[in-house]
Amino acid sequence: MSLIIAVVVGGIIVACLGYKPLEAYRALFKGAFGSGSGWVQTFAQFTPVMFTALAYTISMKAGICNLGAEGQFLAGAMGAALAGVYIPQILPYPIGFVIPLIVGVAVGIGIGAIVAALKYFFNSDIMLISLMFNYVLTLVTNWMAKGPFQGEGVNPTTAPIDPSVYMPLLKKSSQLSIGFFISLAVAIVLQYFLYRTSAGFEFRVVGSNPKVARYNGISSNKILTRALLISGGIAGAGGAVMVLGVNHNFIINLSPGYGWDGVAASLLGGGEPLTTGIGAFIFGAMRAGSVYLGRKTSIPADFISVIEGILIIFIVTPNILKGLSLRNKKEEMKK
Amino acid sequence: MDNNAQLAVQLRGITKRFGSFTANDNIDIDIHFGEVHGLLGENGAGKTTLMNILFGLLHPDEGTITVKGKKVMLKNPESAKKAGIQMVHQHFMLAMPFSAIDNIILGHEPTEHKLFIDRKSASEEVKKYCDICGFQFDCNQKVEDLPIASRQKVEIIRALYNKCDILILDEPTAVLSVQESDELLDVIRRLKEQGKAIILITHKLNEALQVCDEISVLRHGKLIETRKADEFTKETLAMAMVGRRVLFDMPERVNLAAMEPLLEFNDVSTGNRKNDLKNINLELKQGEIFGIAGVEGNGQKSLVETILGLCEITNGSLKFAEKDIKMYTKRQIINLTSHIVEDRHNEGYLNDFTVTENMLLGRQREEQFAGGHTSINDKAVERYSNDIIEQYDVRVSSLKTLGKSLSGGNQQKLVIGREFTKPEAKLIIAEQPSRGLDIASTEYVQKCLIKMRNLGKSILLISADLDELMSLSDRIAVLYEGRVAAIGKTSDFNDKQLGMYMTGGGTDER
Repeated sequence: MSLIIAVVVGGIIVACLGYKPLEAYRALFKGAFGSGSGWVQTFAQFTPVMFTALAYTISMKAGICNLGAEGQFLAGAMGAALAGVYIPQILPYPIGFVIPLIVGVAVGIGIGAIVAALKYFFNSDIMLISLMFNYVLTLVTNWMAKGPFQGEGVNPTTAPIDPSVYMPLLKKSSQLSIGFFISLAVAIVLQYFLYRTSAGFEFRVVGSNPKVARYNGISSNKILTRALLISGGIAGAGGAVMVLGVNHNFIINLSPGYGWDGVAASLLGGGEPLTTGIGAFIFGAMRAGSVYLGRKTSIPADFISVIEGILIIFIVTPNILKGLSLRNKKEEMKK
Repeated sequence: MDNNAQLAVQLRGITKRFGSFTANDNIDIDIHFGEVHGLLGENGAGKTTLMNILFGLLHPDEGTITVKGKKVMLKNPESAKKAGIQMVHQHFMLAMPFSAIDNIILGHEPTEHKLFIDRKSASEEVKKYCDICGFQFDCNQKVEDLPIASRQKVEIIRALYNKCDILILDEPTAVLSVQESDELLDVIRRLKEQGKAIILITHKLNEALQVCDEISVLRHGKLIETRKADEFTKETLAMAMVGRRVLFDMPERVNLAAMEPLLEFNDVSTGNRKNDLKNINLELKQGEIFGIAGVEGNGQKSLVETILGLCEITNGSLKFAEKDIKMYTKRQIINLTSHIVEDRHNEGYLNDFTVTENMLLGRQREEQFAGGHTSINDKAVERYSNDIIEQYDVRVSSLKTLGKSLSGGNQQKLVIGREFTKPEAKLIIAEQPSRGLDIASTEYVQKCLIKMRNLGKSILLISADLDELMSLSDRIAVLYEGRVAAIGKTSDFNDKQLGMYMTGGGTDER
């Protein structure tokens, strides 16, 4: 399995750099699972990745490759951050987060809608467009945080959101909020949708064999559009949860690549909503462990980036190739 | 048949088991040079297994193989090739991006100076074989650019180039049109005259009776009998294969009083390409089977897609049950139509989904299953799937089996069961309904179509099998280049006339 290869290769690289691989892995493990606070951090880091992973998963189920989760995450985060400041707060804590969360989701859906529209009107490639949007959205949201929407002080963040919209934490002074449970709920809902409803069945047919879908009265266009909207919305939710539960504002470079972790986590987990959780868990654990790694050993915390990078190469490459061939099949279908 | 014909192959006591399943049970067969030996049997009778043993792909558990008088151990296709045995499979084993000649000489390239391939002498030799067979095609063309019938010719030439004198053909006409099949039978005769021994695996009784000298029938792994071909009739051959009398004449036609046409094509055109419809005027009445004859690619696809709403009508109008087709949503049309598709894997079957999910394809929105917008009604779906499995004899071990694990015949039966039981369907479009089915299943499907017709449904039957068309249809139309070349009652046509219309000779309406 790719995970094992990545671990081994990562170990080799570390050894080449003069560190002890076993020491590195032991530290990672201890950091992620060795204590109560370790576990808390693991689940906290799991949450944003789970959202972006589910966004990718649901788009793949319909047969499209939404690589824009990173950008949609940031867009949703910005939406929630601004909503938390500028929208009058009618709901009290602890349910105040609902409105900004909805705004974040809506922004994510909006981005998805733009991608879908570009596909519909100009027959653009979804993979490419969603990918490009990541750059656009990263820069735009960073600009918004440093420029027009900057809060008081010199920090490159937006104004702090109203405390009434904070997302309740599961453990005091930690980064783990009820967003964790929301992400699990989304996974369950998606699983139910795909496998227990007729609409979900149609979704999967389009993803698996668009030609068969066409011959059986299932409209690919409708379903692809829906997939993009749902996918964008979920990624946006992830960003909103990040802002509402952890940062309480939008800071530039909010996301250390959660969107990309999401893609890899989804593939690692096997592409089904529930199993995606496994992949997200592994990534969450790695991020949690890396802090400990950096503190307790002389090995830089960025070591996990090595493992993640290798993992991503080993998992993502064959899947992107599959995605490309799926795209070519659809092109042929149009002829 | 020459009584002193030399023995090419002797199979004695060949037995092959897969676990507890005996695919070949103590089989004895003699194959002679200069003869065509037919190997017939239902799906699963053991024909392909036996031939795979002869070709070296499988090893028998018991029994001996003697080739040209010498006992041999066929460890792999290489040994078979050395013994002079070659096989042309149903699914061709050609390298698509390479030219025909490259495929033919693959593995045996003549090398002049041990470095370069001597294409010239190869071409000459290949041409020699082409002449023997009467083939004419450009050897330098890439295989992927060749039509299927030509690809098969490449396979045959390759076998000859490999100096085979025993040639096994596995269902060679399954992918050919009527005309191409006739050409192939001619080639087989020519090769026979050259002294080769030909083993023909086929389902098709007519072919076997036409071209074989001897026929061996397998049933459930056992050899039932081997006889000279002229000692068989179609009926006795079928009976040997199936084990009981098989109905070839269809039950009495019940004549319903003329009712409103279900489909009305009024001067319908869809474009200018060869496969587009041009000025089609056609009516499909209720309670009739309307056969569409024609060589593939002459408009049948467009006909079907126009009805399904997938193909745009540029001229004229199509009415479905008195309403213009444009007034229906695609889903409505699906509900009203039972469609047995021609190409399952691209139109009507999901390899990566379970049997139950395949049963739901096209029907996932029906009341009984969808239960509103909430969850799928599992019990109803399970009951329905089991009903179809029983009624239509779909052999599958569990509802959760993946689609790709079913044999072709069972896949087809699943599709037929699913389509025929649609509650609101008034129209049945049956494309090549018995393709891939053995005799018993074909009989069942044909009986089903008749039953549906007697119940008042309208059936559009598109089939390459003229026998099937003529025995089932009430009326027939021939499509040629998107136009109706001929149309009329079945009793007004014979198959020679149909063949003529199908290839463009004469276009009159009766």
